[in-house]
Amino acid sequence: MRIKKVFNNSVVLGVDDRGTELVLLGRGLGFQASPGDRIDESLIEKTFVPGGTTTAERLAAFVDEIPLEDIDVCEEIVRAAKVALGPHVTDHVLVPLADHVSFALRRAREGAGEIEYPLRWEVQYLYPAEVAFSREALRIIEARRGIRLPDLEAVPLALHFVNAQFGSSDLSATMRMTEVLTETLAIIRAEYGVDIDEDSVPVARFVTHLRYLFLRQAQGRQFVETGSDLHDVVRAAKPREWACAGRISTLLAERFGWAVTTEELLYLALHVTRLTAQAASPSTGTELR
Amino acid sequence: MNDDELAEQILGLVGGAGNVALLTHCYSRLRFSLHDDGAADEAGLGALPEVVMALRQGGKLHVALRSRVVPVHDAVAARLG
Repeated sequence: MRIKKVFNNSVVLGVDDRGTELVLLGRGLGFQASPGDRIDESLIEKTFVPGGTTTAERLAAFVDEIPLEDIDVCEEIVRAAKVALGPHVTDHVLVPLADHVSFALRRAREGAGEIEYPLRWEVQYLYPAEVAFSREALRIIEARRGIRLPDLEAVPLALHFVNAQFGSSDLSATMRMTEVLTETLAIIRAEYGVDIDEDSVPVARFVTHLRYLFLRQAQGRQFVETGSDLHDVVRAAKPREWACAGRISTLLAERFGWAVTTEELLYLALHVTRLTAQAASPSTGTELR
Repeated sequence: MNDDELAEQILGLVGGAGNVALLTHCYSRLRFSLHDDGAADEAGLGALPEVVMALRQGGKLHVALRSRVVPVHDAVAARLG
């Protein structure tokens, strides 16, 4: 591994034999070093991989200014998150997470006021698995850093784990998704005039489906078409649900400029059918997972 | 203070619209990349009642708001032209 750029005495940009750029942290790594020099790998304490919106420059600035202890605890949290939530949680979540946690710890130490996070209720019912894990993360932070962050901090942590599916350090895509998920459920409520139990299994499945829909759109992928005969069957059998799915796809088109395919409409209509069937007969709501 | 008044106050304290190279936001913070970090008044920003804390982190000036980060971000961005 060789040095590509020296940021300061302990932070350098390195490039390995395959051409991959890495931000490296270690006392003395950059001392009297120049681009092209071979790196003494015994000095490397931590390695960070640039990616997405996290450029090498941003990583280096981050590594230089965030206490190492805060980075350590977040590494532990990311390792636990991969086990608890799945492999879509990658190391790219480390920088935005540590950025948030370090700031929250500073606020707590300095006794700064709490923040009224937007979408706090929506996050809690739309992403229960991420919120549950984030409470565990608060325990890890307390054990390692000696500060108990407010329970409310589980909300922004959960958003970071949800955001991990997009592989971006920018939370705005996840914030917009959260708003639209909420509006989608509101469309169904308004259409059927029923209350939807946000803790129910069909809602959890629907939210999961929509999250994958967002991911497909973000990645420009589409379902393979099952054929128009299946669309016609569902449209004929469930005209109201098909129309409701159409309103949801209109919302998605207006907000994001997406062209929602008939195949996606089919799945939306099936989910709407399940959701409203449950709401119409609450006694069947004790479905086993 | 409404969003526009707050946006004006914040912009003045970071050294004016001309000092802002880049503005982004996360879930609770406005993040400014400034041309001249010395022109920003961190203490003044921290003293605003709507601001929880202002500090430098990751090469940027972070201004954490008690609430309304998205509309205030939009109001500041509208003044950057």
